[in-house]
Amino acid sequence: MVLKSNTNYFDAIVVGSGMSGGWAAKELTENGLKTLVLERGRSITHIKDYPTTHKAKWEFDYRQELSLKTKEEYPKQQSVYAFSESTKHFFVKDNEHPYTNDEDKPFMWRRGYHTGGKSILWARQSYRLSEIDFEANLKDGHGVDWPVRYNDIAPWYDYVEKYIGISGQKEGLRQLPDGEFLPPMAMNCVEEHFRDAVKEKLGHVVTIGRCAHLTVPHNGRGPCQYRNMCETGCPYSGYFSSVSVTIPDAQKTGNLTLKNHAIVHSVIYDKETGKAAGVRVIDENTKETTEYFAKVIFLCASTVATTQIMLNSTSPDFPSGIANTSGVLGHYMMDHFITGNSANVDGFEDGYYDGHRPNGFYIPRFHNVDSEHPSFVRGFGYQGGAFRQSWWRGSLEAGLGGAFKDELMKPGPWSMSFSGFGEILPYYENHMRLNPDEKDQWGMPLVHFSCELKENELQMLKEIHNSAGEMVDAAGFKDFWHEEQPIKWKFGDGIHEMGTARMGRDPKTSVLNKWNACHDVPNLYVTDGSFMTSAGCQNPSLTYMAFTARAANHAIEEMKKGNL
Amino acid sequence: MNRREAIKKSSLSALALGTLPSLSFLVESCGIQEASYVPVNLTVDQYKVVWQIAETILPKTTTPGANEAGVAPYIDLLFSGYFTDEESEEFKTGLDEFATVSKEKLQLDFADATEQQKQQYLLDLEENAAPDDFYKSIKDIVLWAYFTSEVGIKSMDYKPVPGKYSGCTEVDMNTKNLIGNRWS
Repeated sequence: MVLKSNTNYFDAIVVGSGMSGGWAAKELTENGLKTLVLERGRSITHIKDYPTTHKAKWEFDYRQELSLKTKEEYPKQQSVYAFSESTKHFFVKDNEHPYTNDEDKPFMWRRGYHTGGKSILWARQSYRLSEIDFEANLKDGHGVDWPVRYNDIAPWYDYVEKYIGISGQKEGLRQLPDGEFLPPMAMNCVEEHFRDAVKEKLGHVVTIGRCAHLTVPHNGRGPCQYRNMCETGCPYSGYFSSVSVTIPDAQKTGNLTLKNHAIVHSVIYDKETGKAAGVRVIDENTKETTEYFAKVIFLCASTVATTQIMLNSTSPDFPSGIANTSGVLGHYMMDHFITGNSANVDGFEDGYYDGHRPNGFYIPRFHNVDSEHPSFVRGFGYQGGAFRQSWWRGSLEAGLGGAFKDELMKPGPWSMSFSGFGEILPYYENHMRLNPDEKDQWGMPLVHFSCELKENELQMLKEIHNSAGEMVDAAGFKDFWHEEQPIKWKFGDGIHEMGTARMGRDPKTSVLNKWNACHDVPNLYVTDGSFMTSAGCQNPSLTYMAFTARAANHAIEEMKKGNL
Repeated sequence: MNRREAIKKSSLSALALGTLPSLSFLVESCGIQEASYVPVNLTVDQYKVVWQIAETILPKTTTPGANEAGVAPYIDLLFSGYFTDEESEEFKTGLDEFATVSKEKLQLDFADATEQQKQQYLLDLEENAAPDDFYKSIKDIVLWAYFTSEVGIKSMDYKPVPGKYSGCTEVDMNTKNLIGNRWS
C-alpha cells in the first residue's frame, strides 16, 4: 500500500519539459489541472540563462571553435552543427551520460538536459505530414497502419501553428499541406533563380523554409532579428522554444509545479485499477527516490528516454515494460538520414543579401507522389541555401599580400549547398533495449542501440544525389558535388529518433491508441517522437506538438467524463 | 577548411632546434616591430617566424595587418588547450624547419629579408606545397586568426543584430563580407 501524501499528488504528471512536454503542460494547466512537470536537468529561465547569446567570436578562447577539453567532454555531442563553444552548455557531457550500441552499428544520441530540452537547440523547420504519409504504411505494407488520418490532426496543426508562429509560403501541395503562416522569409537572388529554373525545367517546387521564426511580432513575442544565433537561446523570443513560450504560459496559470533535477526511474502501475498510479523519481543530486502520483501521466521525455523509462517499468503484469503486451516497445526505431550536395554558381556578382537568415530553402518530396519510383518506396526532401563565399575561401586560393587580403574582405563567388532528408522505414530489427549489464550513476540501466539503414534507404540515397545533380544542371550551376556512399551520417544524427512506442489500431502490434494513450494503460499518454508510426521525411517537431495538444485535450475530456 | 587535420599531416620532417627561454623581446626588421608580446608556448624564435609569416600573408594596407589584429599572440595561445600534443609538435617542428631552410636559401634570417623577398619566398612555397604542407597549415591558421579577430571582423561588414533580412541587395566597390556572431 503506497501512501499518497498531498504534496506528492497532482492531477497530471508530465515527464519532460521540452518540445512536447511544454505543450502538454500548457494545455493541461490552462484547463485547470494541477500539473507536475518533471525535468531531469537543471533549471533554465528564458533570457536570463542565455550566457553566450551576445558574445562575439573574438570573446571566446578559440573563436567559438572547440577546445581540447570540450572535445574530450563531448565526444559524441560535438559533431552536430548546433554544437560550439557558445552552445555546449545546452548539451549533455557524454562521459556523464553513457549509452551503448552494437559495435558495427554506431548510434549518435544527442541530448540537452535542462528546462526546455532540445527545444532550445532545434533547427526550427516546421512541416506538416500529409495524407500520403498517414496512408503510407497501409499502402506499401511497411509498419502498421496509422490509426489517424490527416483530417484528424489538421485542426491541431492549425492550433499549434497559430499559437507559436510559423513563417512560410503556401504552395498548395498534396505532399506538404500548407499551414497558418506568418509572412515568409525572402530567398536570395541565386535561390530565386534556382527556384524558377527547377520549376520550369523539372517541375519541382523550391520554397522558402517553413520555420518557427516570427517574421512579424506575434503573441507579444519577436520579431526575429536575423542574428542566426538561435541555439544560444533568443533574447528577442524570435523563435519557438518551450522555455520561451509554453512553460512560461503554463506557469502563468498558477497550476504548474516544475521540478528540476528529477530523473524518472519508472512508471508505477496499479494492478487494481489497471492504470498508472504515478512515477518514481530519483533526485539528480541526492539520488533519493520519491514517488509522485496523478490521475493522468504524460511521457514526453524524448523518444529514447521515454522508451527507456517504459522498458524499466516492470511489474508482474508487464514483465517486459509497462504497456508492452505487444512486445514492440523499443522496436521500429526511425530517424531521417541526411546527405549533402553542393555546386558553384557563375555570375550574380552584383547581388548580395543583408541579414543572417536562420533558414534556407526547402524542396518538398517529389518522388512517389504522383508516380512510383522503381527502386524505393517513400521519399525525401531537401534543405539548403545559396551564399557568397566569405574570407575563408582564401585557404583554397593561392596568394598572399595586401591586395589578396583586401579582396578576401569582399564577398566571393556564389555557392549552393543542400542536403537530402530521407525517410527511414520502420523495421522491427532497428531497436533500442536496456543494457542488462551496465547502469548509470543513478542506477538506470543504460540504453543499448541496434539500428542501421537498409536497402530501401540505400536506393533512396542514390536518387537523392541523382535528383540533386539534375536540379544543379537545370539551374546552370557547375562543379556539382555529392557525398559518396557510405555517407558520414550515423543513426541518430538526424536527431529525429522516433517510433519506439508506436501508435496503431491493433493492441497486439502497437503500444498506443489513436489518442496517444497506451492500449494497455489508458491514463498513460506518450506524445514525444516515440508515438510515430512512420517517419515521413519532414522535420517532426511540429507533428509532436500537434499530437501532444490533441492528446492533452483528449485526456481532459476523458477526465471530465470520469473515465480517467 | 581542415586546419587541424592539415596540421596533423604536416609533411615536414622533424628537425628540433634548441629552445630559448621565453624572454620579453623586441626585434626590429625592415621597420616592422614585432611588438612586446611575450610568447607563452612558442620559443622566441618560433614566435618570430609566426609573426613574420603572418604579416607577410596579411600586411597592413588601408585595413589593418595581421599583427595589428594580434594574429601571432593568438596563434601562440592555440598551443595551450587547442592543438593536440601531436599537432603542437608538428607545428613547432614546421616553424623550426622554416627558419632553418629559409636561412639557407635566403642567406639571411627570414625576418631580415625584404618584403618582396619574403612574399616571393612564401609564394614559391605555396606553389610547390602539397595540400598538407606546413605552409598551407600556417596560412589557414593565419587567415582564421585574422578574420575572426575583433580587428579583422570590424574591418568587414560586422552586423551582430541586423534586425531585418533582405534577399537581394546590390553590391558596389565598397561592399564587404557580411559577418555576424555565429560560429559556423
